Amino acid sequence: MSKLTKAIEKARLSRQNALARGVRGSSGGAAEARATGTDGIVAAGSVATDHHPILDQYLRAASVKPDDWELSERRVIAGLQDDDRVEPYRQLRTQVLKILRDNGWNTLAITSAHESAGKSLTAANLAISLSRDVNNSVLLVDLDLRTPTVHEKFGMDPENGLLDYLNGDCKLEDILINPGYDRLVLLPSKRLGRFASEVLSSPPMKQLMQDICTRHDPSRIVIFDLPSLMRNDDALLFTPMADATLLVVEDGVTTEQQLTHSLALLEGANLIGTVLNKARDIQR
Amino acid sequence: MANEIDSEQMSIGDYLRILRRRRYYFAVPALIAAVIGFYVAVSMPPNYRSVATILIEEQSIPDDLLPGTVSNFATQRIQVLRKRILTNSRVAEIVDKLDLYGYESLDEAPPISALGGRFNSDLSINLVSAEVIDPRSARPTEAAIAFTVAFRSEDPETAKRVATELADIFLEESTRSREDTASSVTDFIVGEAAKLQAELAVLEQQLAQFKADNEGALPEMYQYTVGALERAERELANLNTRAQELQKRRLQISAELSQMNPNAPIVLSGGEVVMGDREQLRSLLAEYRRKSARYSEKHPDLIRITNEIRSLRESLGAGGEDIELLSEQLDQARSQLTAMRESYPEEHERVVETNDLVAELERKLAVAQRSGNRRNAAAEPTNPAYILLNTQLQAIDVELRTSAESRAAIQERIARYEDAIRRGPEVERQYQSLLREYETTNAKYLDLKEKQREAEIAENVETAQKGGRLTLIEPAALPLAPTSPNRNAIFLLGIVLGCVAGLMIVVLAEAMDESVYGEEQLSAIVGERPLVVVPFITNTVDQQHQRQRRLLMIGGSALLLIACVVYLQVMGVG
Repeated sequence: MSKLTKAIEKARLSRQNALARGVRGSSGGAAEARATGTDGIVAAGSVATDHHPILDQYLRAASVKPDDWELSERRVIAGLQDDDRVEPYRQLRTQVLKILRDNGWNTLAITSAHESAGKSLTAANLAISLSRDVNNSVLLVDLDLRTPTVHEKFGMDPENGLLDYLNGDCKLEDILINPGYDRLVLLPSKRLGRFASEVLSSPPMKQLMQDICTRHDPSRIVIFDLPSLMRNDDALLFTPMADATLLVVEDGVTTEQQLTHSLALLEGANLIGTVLNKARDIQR
Repeated sequence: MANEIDSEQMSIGDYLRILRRRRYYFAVPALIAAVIGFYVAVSMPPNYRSVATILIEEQSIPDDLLPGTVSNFATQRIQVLRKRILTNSRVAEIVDKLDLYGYESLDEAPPISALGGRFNSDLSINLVSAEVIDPRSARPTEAAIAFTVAFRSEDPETAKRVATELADIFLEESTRSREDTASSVTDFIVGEAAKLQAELAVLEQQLAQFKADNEGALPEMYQYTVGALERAERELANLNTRAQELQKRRLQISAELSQMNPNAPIVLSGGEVVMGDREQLRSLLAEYRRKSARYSEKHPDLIRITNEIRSLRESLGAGGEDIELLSEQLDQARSQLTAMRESYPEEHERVVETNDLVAELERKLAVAQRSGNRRNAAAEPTNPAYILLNTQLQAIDVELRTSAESRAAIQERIARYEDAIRRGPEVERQYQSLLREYETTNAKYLDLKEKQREAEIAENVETAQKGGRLTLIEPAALPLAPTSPNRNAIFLLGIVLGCVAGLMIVVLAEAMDESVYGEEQLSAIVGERPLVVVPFITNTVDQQHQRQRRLLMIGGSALLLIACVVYLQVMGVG
């Protein structure tokens, strides 16, 4: 995408943001949201059918809108118009949707063999891409409790994260964020030093998971950004809970050994496929 | 290798991708090597090389008339010459004389062997070959027609001086060695010939001696000896036969003679046969005998008979006392004496008389015997028939004697012949061996003589400078440009080596890298293709970095390369 195009896009988005803020300030109606198309209140006409109360509650999350330019600097490009780089994510979206629909699944865990493979980025871009389809709504959950990065991708710095909710310090709707895309809600985490495993296996967590995962509705997609398999076995704790798992492989960094090991670890986790990320020298 | 090698064949694209991926692994070593190459190329001192060419001339006298005693195999010769000329001490001399290698004096210089080594490495001698027709086999062969003597040094003047000096040495040494060789060859041959000659003389002597010792038994004499033996035997047989005949005849004649009267009876006119003197003498003697038995010597009958006998004797020419008569008388007297001695004593006068008579008779007899020998022969028979037969008998006797002598001689000869024949084979063997030895030695000698002639001619040829020799056809020139080092080549080599090293490092890195590269490999490992391949998403920061890095690399290496090339050109070596 050329510099000129980026600049134009940037200007357009700024106008839209300003407009959105202005609209909300005046009314909070769904009509405005519909008009602008940038309101993060998913419930406003973009969702086809939803009867689950908690999810409805989720979907009434507040919205914050980051700058497209910033996003692209952070490589979160799936929301850009007229950018060829979006294409792979569209393809991924199509494939994932197909698999989920064919099997009646709606939860997807994303992990990788090692750190920095790009799984958080992949999760973010995939979530954005999925949310572009008016038939879907996406909940992106950051379960990398030791080094949560998803919110950073969107340029956000939430006050509270998942753990605050699990500790009972705040309500669920307080932590849910709309990162600026329709039908996309983010459930971020904030950094936790220790005790992550204990937290993850605590009753509130289990309850949350249960709430999120029992809905078998392909139009309500939940994406979990898990930590890498190498890190610890947190990922492996969760993968059984998700309907499907995606493994992100970094081109030229992930070793064969790591790959095969990961595949072995994910034997019981319903791996639906791999993503070759950061690929250089694309082969035809 | 953990990567793409596992999958099916790699295409050129794959290789290029690997190279692109690891371009720094390649570029850095290449660059380093290039710089090193550059430094080496530049810092090596120039070497100048001066070359002198020497032609190997063939002999002007064609080979088949005169195969040279000095071999013309050029390579061999040059090598030999080189060895002779370039002894360590000789080299040290040259180094000293021409002030090579910057030593003040020989004392300063490293040991001679080290000097020699350095000198030899600066020196190069090469053959120049061409196709020639071999005069002996008329087939084209490769032969060396010239050789070059070259010397390299950092100073062109020095190079030229040394090359010139060496060329001179070669020429001089070659001539000298050829002359030396030719004359020494001659000397040697002459010496050998003389030895053989002495041997031959000894053998000849032996042969002659042998021949002399074994004259009759020599094989060449064999036939002759056999013939001679046969002849001798025949001759002997003949002689024997003749002798036998002669003997027979002799007997006959003797028989006749014995029956014949040597004196022819004197026939008177009346036809009366008077007793010849001899017969008369004989009958007188017989009578004397008869009578002396009865009578003594003083008896007138005995005296009368004795006187008659004496006169007959004188007429017969006997003279003196007849030995027979005297013997008779002596016998008579002796028997008388004996009888008397029996009858009478020794002092009796008769005994004494008889004794005296005996003594006297003995004395006369002795005298008569002494002189009678001469006269006996003079008593010749008068009967012609007797004389004839006697003559014949005598002749036969002579002949028999001669025959006996001849036979003896022949027998001796036969014995010799037989001995010779018997010894024949042995003698032949010895003779043959002696002969062989002689002939072999002779052959050798003749051969040597021939060689000597050749060698002498060759020697003359050498001294007349007509033999195959060396001539300088191109003297050492002053080199204008250094022949080495080829700086461009060295530099290029550095670059090439760098590239090779770079490639090797790339290969090594690739081999050690276990990462997964590319969709294909991923698919191979996972067993199904990835859902999607997401290319690397660059942001502005990435792009900036890339640009910077690229600029640095390209700019830096370009600059370096240009600097190197410029510097090389400035140094003026092409």
